[in-house]
Amino acid sequence: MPLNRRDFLRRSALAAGALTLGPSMFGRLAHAAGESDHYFVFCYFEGGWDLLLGLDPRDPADFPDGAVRETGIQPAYGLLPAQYSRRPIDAGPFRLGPCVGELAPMADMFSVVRGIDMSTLTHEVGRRYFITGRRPSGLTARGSSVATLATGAVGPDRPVPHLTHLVEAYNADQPPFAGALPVAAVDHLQYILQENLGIPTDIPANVRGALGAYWSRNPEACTPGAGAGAGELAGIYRDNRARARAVVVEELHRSFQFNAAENAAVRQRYGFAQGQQETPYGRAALAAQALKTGLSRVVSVALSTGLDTHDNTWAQQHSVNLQAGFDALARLLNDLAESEAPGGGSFLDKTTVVAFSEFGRTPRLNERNGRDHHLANCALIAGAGIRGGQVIGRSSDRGMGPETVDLATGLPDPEGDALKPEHVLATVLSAGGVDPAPLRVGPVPALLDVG
Amino acid sequence: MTASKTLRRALRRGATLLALCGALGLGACDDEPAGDPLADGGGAGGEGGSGGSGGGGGSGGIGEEQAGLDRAAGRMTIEQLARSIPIVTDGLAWTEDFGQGPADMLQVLAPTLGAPDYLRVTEENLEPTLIIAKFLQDASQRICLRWVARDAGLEPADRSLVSHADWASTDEALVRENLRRLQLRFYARHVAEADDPALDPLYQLFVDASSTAPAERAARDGWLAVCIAMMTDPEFVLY
Repeated sequence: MPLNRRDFLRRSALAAGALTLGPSMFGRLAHAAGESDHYFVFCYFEGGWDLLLGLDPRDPADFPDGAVRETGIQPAYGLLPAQYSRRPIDAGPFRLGPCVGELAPMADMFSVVRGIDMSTLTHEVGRRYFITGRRPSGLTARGSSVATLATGAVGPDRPVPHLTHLVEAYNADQPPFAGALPVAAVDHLQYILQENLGIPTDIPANVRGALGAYWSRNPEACTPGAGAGAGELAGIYRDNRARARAVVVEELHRSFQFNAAENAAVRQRYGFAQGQQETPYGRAALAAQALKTGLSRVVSVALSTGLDTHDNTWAQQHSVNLQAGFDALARLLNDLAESEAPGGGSFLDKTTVVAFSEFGRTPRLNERNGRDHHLANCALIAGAGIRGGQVIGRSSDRGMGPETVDLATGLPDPEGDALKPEHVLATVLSAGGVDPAPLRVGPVPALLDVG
Repeated sequence: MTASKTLRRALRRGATLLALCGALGLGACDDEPAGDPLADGGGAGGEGGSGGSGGGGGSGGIGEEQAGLDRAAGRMTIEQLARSIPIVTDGLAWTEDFGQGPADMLQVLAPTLGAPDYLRVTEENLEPTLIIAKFLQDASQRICLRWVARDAGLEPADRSLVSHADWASTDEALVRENLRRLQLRFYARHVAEADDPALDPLYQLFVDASSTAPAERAARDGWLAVCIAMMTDPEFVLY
């Protein structure tokens, strides 16, 4: 039976898929660039965050409900739980929404990008766009995630160079070490870092020694009749098997046993009780511990979830979930700022942090007193290489649409260009000393701290 | 068949072979695989999986013209792995009890292992990642300890790990014959003779582990090492 077109394409795709798992030419070049002294944290707010409650507020006095037909903007702060301000918060260099929580007094530490044009209202598209800096093909992400690019550049000098928790990651063209180690639960990381889930297992020393010798002399060449045990994929598996053993040897798991008494200080700093590590605070602690213990250089973590509030849960639920995410972010930034990094300085001096969501929410309430998906978005960036206390970009006072800016200055410019996620991500990479060329745009110079 | 059709078919086949050879980087393997891997049913054992056209047994309409073609290796899904291990071990799965009853650890860890939850993840990541390697290492140690202990207490006819009558024997011929049988059990690989050099690495492992153990534990340690090595080999999780 002749090979039909479908079979040919399928086999070619399998072959191409296997090939991309190996070091590509670009990956080799990135690795050859050497290791850096930099870290990255990507903080994802899942579901589409409300800009009016967070990073792009409006004063209800200027945008009253009675004028919503003209402005298309309805802050509706009066519908929020009583503990929230009914006005934007004066954070010094700029104003923030009532749900920014502990971030409010830290405005000098970060900058806000407003008016990002997402060009999509689809969760998967917006999320993958902001993770990769490229518009997906349909729903399919294109290219490597920016966290993976960053890992490829900073090098494999950590047991788990790239760690993710509840955030997608893609490795299309980077070395295997740059691929993410995904942890679905905070608790699972300690299992990864321990042998046999921490359960005492009597493997005698002579058996361990024999296995070590066996693996070290296991021939790379094919054994006669070998099937899948040969080839590049098997080589990748063997490499990962060796790396997995190295991770266990380092005994890092203790720093991630958040229920343990020795980590009481971590729980206290981040504000979560024993058994509550699957919260924004536990996830922020996970990110910080990963950097501080030397486990990882690049961490992606979903700080907040449950933000996709299309109905009247918006007032009670979105506000609380959003603030929890911002509080966790604030505690993470403070922890990094107060922790000494190897080689001197604080971890925040060497870490670039970005917080993002897949899009914003409509500035006008819908008929169910909720907010739907909105094209304009914001981002928050902080840390190494970033000039804090700034607002770049703007959304319009009619409908909060993204406005064009002069990309060189970040100032609104009717003749300018739309701010896109790739501009933010290029800035993040540049701040960390990584070439943003794969994103095909340059950074926003006004956001970079060149001092 | 006309000459032009024959020529077109030959050119198409040649182009296919050329493209696949280039993409798969066959320079990594110096030796031609012996025989036709599809006809031998070569590849990892366990239940047949998805992906990879025409896996073993000539299923999927693979015909004579495609018999010589190689295909890219793929990794078992977590579900396939969870079903394969009890088949290989004659009923043992990776279960642990943390005080709330036995839990299937492959199911507990499935989200971290990349299995889809159809909420955030709809497609399983089939790369042989560090996590897969790590947890397969853990599973092999936990399972193999139990398997060795259970097998040693069974009658020969009921055993699945060691087939020869004297379980504690370290006789080379018996060990090699058992290794030959385990190749079939773990990898569905038929090794024709017990003295086949393909068995040498595992036999050396058995000797290294058994010869350094106390006499009463020699065979046990040897088979424990062999079990762990075979379960953590790429041949087990890839196909």
